[in-house]
Amino acid sequence: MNQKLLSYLFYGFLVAVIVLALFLLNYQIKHNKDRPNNQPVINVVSEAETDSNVTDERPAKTPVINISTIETAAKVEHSKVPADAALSYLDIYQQLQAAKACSRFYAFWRNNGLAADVSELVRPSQGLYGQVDLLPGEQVPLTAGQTEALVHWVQRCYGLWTDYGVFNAADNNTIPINDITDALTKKLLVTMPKSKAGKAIKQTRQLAAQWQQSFAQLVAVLEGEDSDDTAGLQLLHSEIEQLQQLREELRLQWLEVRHSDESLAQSLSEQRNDLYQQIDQYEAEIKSQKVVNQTQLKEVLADFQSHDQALIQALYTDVAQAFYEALITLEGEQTYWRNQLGFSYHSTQSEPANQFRITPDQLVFEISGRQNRLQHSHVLRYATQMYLCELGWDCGAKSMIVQEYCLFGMYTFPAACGKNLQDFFRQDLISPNRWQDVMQFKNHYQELFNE
Amino acid sequence: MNRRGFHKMFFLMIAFVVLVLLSIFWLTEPRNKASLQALHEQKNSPQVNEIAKQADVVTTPDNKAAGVQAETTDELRAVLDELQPHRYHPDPSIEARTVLLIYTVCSKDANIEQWFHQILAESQRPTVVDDYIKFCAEATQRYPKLLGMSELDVLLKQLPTTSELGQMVKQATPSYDESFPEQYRMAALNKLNAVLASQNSALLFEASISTFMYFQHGEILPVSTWLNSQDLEYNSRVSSYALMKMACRYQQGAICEGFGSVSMMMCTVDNSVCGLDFAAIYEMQVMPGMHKDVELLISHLDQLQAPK
Repeated sequence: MNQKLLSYLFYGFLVAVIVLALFLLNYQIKHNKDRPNNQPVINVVSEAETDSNVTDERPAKTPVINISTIETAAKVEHSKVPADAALSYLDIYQQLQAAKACSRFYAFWRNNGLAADVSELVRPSQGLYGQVDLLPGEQVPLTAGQTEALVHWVQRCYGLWTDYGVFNAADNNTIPINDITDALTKKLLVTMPKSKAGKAIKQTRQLAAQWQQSFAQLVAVLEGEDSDDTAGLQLLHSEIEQLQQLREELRLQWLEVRHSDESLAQSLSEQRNDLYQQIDQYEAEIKSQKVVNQTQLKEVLADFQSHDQALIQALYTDVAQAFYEALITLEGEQTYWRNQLGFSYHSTQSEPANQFRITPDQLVFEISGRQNRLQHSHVLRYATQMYLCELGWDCGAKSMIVQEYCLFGMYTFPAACGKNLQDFFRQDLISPNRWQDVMQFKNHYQELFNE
Repeated sequence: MNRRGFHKMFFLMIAFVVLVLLSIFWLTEPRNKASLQALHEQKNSPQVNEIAKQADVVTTPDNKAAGVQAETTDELRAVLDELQPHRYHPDPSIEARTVLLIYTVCSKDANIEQWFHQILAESQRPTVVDDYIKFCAEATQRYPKLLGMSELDVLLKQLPTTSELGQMVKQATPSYDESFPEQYRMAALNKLNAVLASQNSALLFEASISTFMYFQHGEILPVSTWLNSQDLEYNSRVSSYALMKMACRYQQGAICEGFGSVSMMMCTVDNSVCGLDFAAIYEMQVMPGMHKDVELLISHLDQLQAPK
C-alpha cells in the first residue's frame, strides 16, 4: 500500500473520530439539560420485575352503556307486580337488597336520563405498578369483566325499576315518581314469611327497627336540653345561620376563581376557615349550656340496652340474611357500602351515644386477645365478609358485594369481576400471609356466633 | 506530502482530538469553586468555621420565599459545635435530624413539649415519667443548644448541607401534577432509594411515615406483586412497618428505644404503649401473617440495595 493511500485512510479515520466526538458532546449536553441536577437517576428495579404490567398502549375507549344498548332491558315492558304475590318473602327480600344496591343507578338515571352512559359511575382502580396512567379528564377505561358486570347490574336494576316504579303518563313513562326501595320495603312488610329463613329475617328486621328507634331517643336525650335563656340562644343560632350563609357565598366565589386567581382563592379559603372556627365556637357555646336530664337518660338507656341485647342475640343464627340485618343495624349507617361491612368506627366525641353501642366486631376482637381494634379494621372487615359467605350469603360473581369491589368502591378492583368473593380475596386482594390473619378472625366469628 | 509533513500532520491531528475530548469532559462535568469546596468538605471532616462560612452565605429557597430570618449566626454556630464530632453522619443537617428524631421528646420546641406532656399525663404506665427523665438526661447534657431550640423546623431549614443526600432530604417532595404522574413517582423512588442507601435511622423513620406517597399516585415499586396483595392501603402499612424495622438496624437502634421517634409515633395512636420499645409494640400490634409480609418486603428492599 502506498504512502498516499495510507495517509488518506489515516486522515479519514481521524475525521471520523472527531465527528463521533462532536456527536457525543452534543448528546451529553442535551442529556444534562433534561436531567435535573439534584436527581440522580437510579435504576433499581430489574427488568424482570418491571416487565409484568408495563405497556405503552392506551386502553381502548369504553363503549357507551345505557338502557338502549342493552337489548333485553330495552324490551322489558312496564308491568304491574302480580297481585297474587307469586314471590316469596325471601324473593322480595332479595329484590329489596338489590334495589338498595341499585340506588346509585336510580339516582344517576333520575339526574341524567336513561340514555346517559352509566359507565361514568365506575370508579377508577388503584394504580398498580406499571399500569398506564389516566390522562387528565380521561374516563376510566373498563375491563371486559367490568363491562359485563355493569351490563348485568343495569339489566337487573332496570328490571326492578320497571316492575316497581310508578310512572306518570305525562313524563313519557321513563322516570318513576316513587322510590323503588320504599315500594319494596312496603311490599315486604305486608308479606308473610313461610320458611324458617324468612321468619328469622322478618324477626330480625323488627328488632332492628326497634333498636333504631331506641338509639335515636338515646341520642336525643344525650344532646341535652337548653338551660340558658331562649333569647340569648336564639341570637347565637341566628349568628350561626348568617355565618353559614356567608361561608356558602365564599365557597361559590372560591369555585369561580380557584383556577384563575390563586392568591384570591387562597384568601377566600382562609376567610372560610375563619368562619368555620367562629361557627364551631358558637356551636360549642350552645352545646356547653345544654343539660342532660338524668332521670330521662336512665330510662332511655335501659330501654336501649334491652333492644341492643335483643339484636345482639339475633347474631346467633345460621341464617345469613338475618345475621346481615343485625350486623348492619348494629354497625350503623357507615356500612352503606357493602365492602365496608365488618367494621365501623364510632366516635364517641361526635356522638356520645356511641359509647353504649356494642358491635359484632368488638365482641370478636375481645376474644382475639389483641389490642387496638382500629389497627385491625380491615382484617375484621374481610373476616366478617368471609363469615357471611360461609353462612350462605350471596358472595357469587354477580353478587352485590362483588359488584362493590368490581365497580364502585373507593377504588375498584377489576380483578374481582367475574369471581366469587373468596376467590377474589385469596387470588388478588389479600396476601397469602395476611389470609392467615383473616381466617383467625373468621374462626373467632364461628366460635362466638355459630358453635 | 513528504514523510516529515505526514508526521507533522499526524501530531497536529492527535493534539486536536485530545483537545476535543478535554472540552467534552469540561463542558459536561463543570467544576466551579462551590462544588469543589463541597467535594472537599464531604471527603474530610468539616471544620466548624468553614461550615459556618457556608451557613452565612447559603440560604435555602424556602427561607428566601418566606422571608424567615435565620437564627443568629452565633446560635447556629453553637448548634454546629455540638454536632461535632458527628455520631451519625458527617453532614450536619442529617446529623441534627438524626439527633432530633432519636431525642424528639427531649426537645424544648413548644409544639413537641405540649404534645408529649399530654401523652405523659394520659399514659397508663406508672413509671413512664421516670423512664422519660432517664432517657433525656444524657441527651440534654450533650445537646443543650440543639434540644433547647424553640423552632426546630426553622433550624433544620437553616442548617447547611454538605452532601447530596442532605440536599435531597431538605428539598420538599415535588407536588403531584396529574399531567406528569411518572415524574412524581420517579422523584419519590429516587428519594426512597437514597434513604435506603443512607443506612440512617432518622431518614428511614421519616420515610416510614410517608409511605402513602409510594402508593397514592401509582405504586413506585411492585409491592403488590411482591406481596401478592392488591390492597394498597395494607401494602402501605406493611411498607411503613418494614421501614421502621430497617430504621432500628442503624445507629444502635436508638430511634426504636422507648422514647425514640418510632416508639413515640406508635404511642400517639395508642397511649398504653408509651415508653415501650418498638420491638415490644410491634409484637403486640402486628398479627402473625402481616409480620411475615413485613419480613418479605424487607428482603425485597434489601435486594434493591444489594450490589449488582
